[in-house]
Amino acid sequence: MLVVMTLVGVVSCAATVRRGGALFPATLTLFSGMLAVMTLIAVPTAWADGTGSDADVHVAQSLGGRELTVTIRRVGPVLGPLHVDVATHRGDAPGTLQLTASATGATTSSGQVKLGTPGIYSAVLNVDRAGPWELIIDDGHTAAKIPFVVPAQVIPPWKKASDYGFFAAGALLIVSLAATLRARRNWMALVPATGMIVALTVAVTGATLSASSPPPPRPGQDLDPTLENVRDPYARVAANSLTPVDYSRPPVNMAVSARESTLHLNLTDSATGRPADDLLIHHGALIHLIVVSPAGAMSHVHPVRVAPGRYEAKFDAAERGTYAMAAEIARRGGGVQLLRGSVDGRSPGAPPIPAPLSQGEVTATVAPAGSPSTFRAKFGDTPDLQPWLGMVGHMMVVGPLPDDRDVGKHALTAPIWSHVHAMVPPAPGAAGGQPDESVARYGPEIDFTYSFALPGRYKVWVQTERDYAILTAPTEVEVRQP
Amino acid sequence: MNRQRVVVIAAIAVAVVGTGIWLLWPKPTADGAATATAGPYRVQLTGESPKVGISPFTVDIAGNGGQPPTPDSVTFEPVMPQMGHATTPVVATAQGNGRYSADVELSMAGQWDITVRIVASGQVREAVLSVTTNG
Repeated sequence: MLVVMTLVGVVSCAATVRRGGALFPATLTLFSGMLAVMTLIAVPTAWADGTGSDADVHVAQSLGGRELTVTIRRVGPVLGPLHVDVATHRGDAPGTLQLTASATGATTSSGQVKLGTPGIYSAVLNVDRAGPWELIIDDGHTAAKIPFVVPAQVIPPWKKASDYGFFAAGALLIVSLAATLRARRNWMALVPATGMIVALTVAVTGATLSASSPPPPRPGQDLDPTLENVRDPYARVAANSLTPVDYSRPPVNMAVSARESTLHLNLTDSATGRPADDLLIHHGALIHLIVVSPAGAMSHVHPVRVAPGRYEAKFDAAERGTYAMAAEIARRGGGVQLLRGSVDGRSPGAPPIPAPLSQGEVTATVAPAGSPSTFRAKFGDTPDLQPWLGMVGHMMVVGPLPDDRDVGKHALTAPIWSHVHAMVPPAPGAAGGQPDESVARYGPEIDFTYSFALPGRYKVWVQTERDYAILTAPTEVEVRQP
Repeated sequence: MNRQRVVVIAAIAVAVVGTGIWLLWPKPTADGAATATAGPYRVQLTGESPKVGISPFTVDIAGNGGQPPTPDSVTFEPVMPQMGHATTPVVATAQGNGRYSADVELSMAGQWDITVRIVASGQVREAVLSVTTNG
């Protein structure tokens, strides 16, 4: 269409020049129409490849014995109110949480949520600037700092080229029109007309390029977010594009210690030794920490970030023996890593605590090692399971383990630790990202498929959520040689 | 006819000029310099972002809402997180009025995290400034 318009413009100009303005009314109408069309085409529109993410941010936080799900709603490029939902679960103590949105050099905004029965509690904070922010959740003892990015409204350079090109074409059209009417020499109208064609070419090229040009690296996901790169991700594309498809970073080392009912994780970059303070929220948490107790009970917690590279979770190492653990993390730039660690129970004389009762039934059809096995976990009879961490169900697999009482010790050296997901089924016509925990419509059966790599005995736990209670169903399976 | 022509041309001219002003209107440019806090200190990059190679790196260190003690020493520790590469820390020299400067070595283009380590009254505070170098 634009090419046709350009040709029409050239022909009209030429015709006008040749006939000395005899066709003035027709030409004027044609030019005015073209100007209107150009203006309409050049109207700024929303661009999907900007950094403006309209998705909610869901992040699980094991804060001071509570298992919270914090949802930062629709962090879009529109500044103003920031809606924060805090979902509490069964067993979480009532109390007050202080919420603060903070960024260096920006206005700090605070609010409170008063927690009662399990459910969702909301607060409204305020963000007055695009850039990197922290949401601080303080329960009076520990302050969890959740990093998030408030994106800016970004206009890609080719969009600007297109806008300016169409504008210049429109302006030159007027000039060529005036030249046609007023100039004594007919050729003078051709000068602005040629300029108009050049401007149109720029505009059309910009508009065409926008569809195929790669987006810039995303601040927060690919690069450390700064005020500069959030506001203008295109500004230093050249410098950031040395490895345009691979922003991955070195592995992380994790040191674990347990002191005063608190588990301390210290994450450092394996290449520099600096704190690794660039964890992404993946599958609804900064860290998914799976802990297997000496007696073989599993807990799935989400340590909170208290300082760069330092995370904490409430933890009572009451049993005698080894607590084995594995942390799933994703660093900025992509890729999920599994970090293993352990702590010793602090009471050498304490007896093992028996594993809690199962809250569901797991039926397994176990195939030989290397082939897919299937699992069906059934929790009650009603289809009202809630998604937890964005999934209907989670299945943890640890093994192969010998038939010995000190499960934690053997789990520490077990070659396989797996975390399997049962995804939320797609809802036709649904929009707005993943459903939050208020959607209770899944189950009661949850299916998993998993291939055991090695023969042997495995411990398996399935987790889901109902009525804001995290349910766990453990089982054991024996995998044969293929 | 003549008056009509003038009115039409004037209307189009106004529309074109209006669009031009809208497109070219200077957008409010807020302070985009890298800034970070380190306990009671507020650290801000001054001047241009450093270039690839050895180039001066200058920060202004001020109180973050109070009057913290004057730093005993200020050190710059450059790290390129994507490459997992750290270069030799350099001790900055005080230039008065809270300004500290040193030559840092940033060996390639891309994003660098420069940790500004402030030691004052036996306490260590760190602020991380993220800068991008162009080749």
